Amino acid sequence: MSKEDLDRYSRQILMNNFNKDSQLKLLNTSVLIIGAGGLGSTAILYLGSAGFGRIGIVDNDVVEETNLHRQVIHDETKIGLSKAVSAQQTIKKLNSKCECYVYKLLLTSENALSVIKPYDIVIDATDNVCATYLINDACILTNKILIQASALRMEGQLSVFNYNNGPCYRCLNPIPPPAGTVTKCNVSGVLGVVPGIMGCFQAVEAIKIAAGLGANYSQKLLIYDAELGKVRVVKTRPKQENCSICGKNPSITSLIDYEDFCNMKKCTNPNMSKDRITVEEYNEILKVNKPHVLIDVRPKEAFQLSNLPNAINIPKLELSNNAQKIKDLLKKKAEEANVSEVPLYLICRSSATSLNSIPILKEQGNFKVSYIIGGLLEWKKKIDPSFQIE
Amino acid sequence: MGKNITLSFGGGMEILFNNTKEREIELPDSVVNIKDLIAYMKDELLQERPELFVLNDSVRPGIIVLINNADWEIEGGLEYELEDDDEITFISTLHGG
Repeated sequence: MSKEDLDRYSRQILMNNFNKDSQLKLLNTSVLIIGAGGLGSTAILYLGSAGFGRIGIVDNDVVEETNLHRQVIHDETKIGLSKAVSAQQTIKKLNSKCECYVYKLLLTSENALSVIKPYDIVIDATDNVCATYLINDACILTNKILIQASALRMEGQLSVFNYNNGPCYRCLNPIPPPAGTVTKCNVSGVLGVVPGIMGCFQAVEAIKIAAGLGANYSQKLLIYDAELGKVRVVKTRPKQENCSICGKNPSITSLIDYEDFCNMKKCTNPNMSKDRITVEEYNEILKVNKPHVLIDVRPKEAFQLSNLPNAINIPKLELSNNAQKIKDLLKKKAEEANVSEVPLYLICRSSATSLNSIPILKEQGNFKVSYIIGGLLEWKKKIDPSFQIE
Repeated sequence: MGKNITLSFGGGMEILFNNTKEREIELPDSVVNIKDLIAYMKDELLQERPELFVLNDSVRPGIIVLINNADWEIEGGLEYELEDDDEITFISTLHGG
């Protein structure tokens, strides 16, 4: 190890159970962090500074103002920027020697194995049930250790999977929760520091595993409740012989359709065909001048940079407060066109935000609403190559 | 005399049970095991939306059940026979970050 590195990491090498060899192990270990949000922010900061040789960051989202209370790796100057790139910029300033790669993509059954393969340890810092099953399965198929955590309101949970013949996420949760029983931060809220704490726990686990000190939370579940001030560490079941992915005769041998598995298609799309339209279909609607309302649900900074001329900007988190305004707009359009009702379309950069906006609107009334598949990126690709977006 | 146990809730399950995260209850003699307890809770304690708690005589998928701070699978699951002073915990798996 170089003298520079010895100096830089001297304070952790000073510990009697963490020596130069442990630090070298970190330098030779790579970690993939999936999600640069509330959990990922602190996990990435500590992993970037701890002396890992290589880290990778996966995120397809852009920084929004409402993220900043918890996603502390980003700041006000990064609003509208890719979260993965923003996190990478922070790490480059923090530790220029840490190789930091970004994947500006949504992890899917098609790309997950190739993204995960080059890394030793995987951190699930995502915010949804489909991603968690996808990452779990991908880690089993590529034999990677998985550190999974989640946070909501004032509570957090964490566990380490596929470690030393321990259980995987499916061993504990063979059946996904019914659609409609799961809520997210943008609906239930979250105290900013709670995912930050859970991300720190993920970083500790990654460091201990990499340094050969052993994981704390394999076959254990850490449950943190900031409301009660309670930390529980509970023993869970061991690896299950009949587990459908890591058991003796697995029925899942390649990645599957996780939205379908988690019943999410039904959840977000009670009438699938009506709930989403393609960019080609929307282009047709524009051409024939069919009356409708188009809402761009991106943050206003992103909207100001580029937008479709007929779009109205109402960022996702302002939708509930503007439900009446939207109803009035629809009514006005319908009256102008002399029809009983007109459809509402949602658009955003990639369609992740607009898809998630649909349940928010449906809570506020009986909206006839669809999102545009692939969003503005798809619009640029298929309809208007001159559209300014990346 | 019925047994006294502590029920605790987390991950949003408390919302279904009077918004209390911890309570002590005295069980009627008819409640012997966890399966009976779930039925009793559904009929007597649940405030709203049973579909968020039960499915086919058990808890719905996505609920972690702990018996004295251990995964109920280790302790016998639905068939576990309740004892005085047991702490039974129902926590919803979280998906946020």
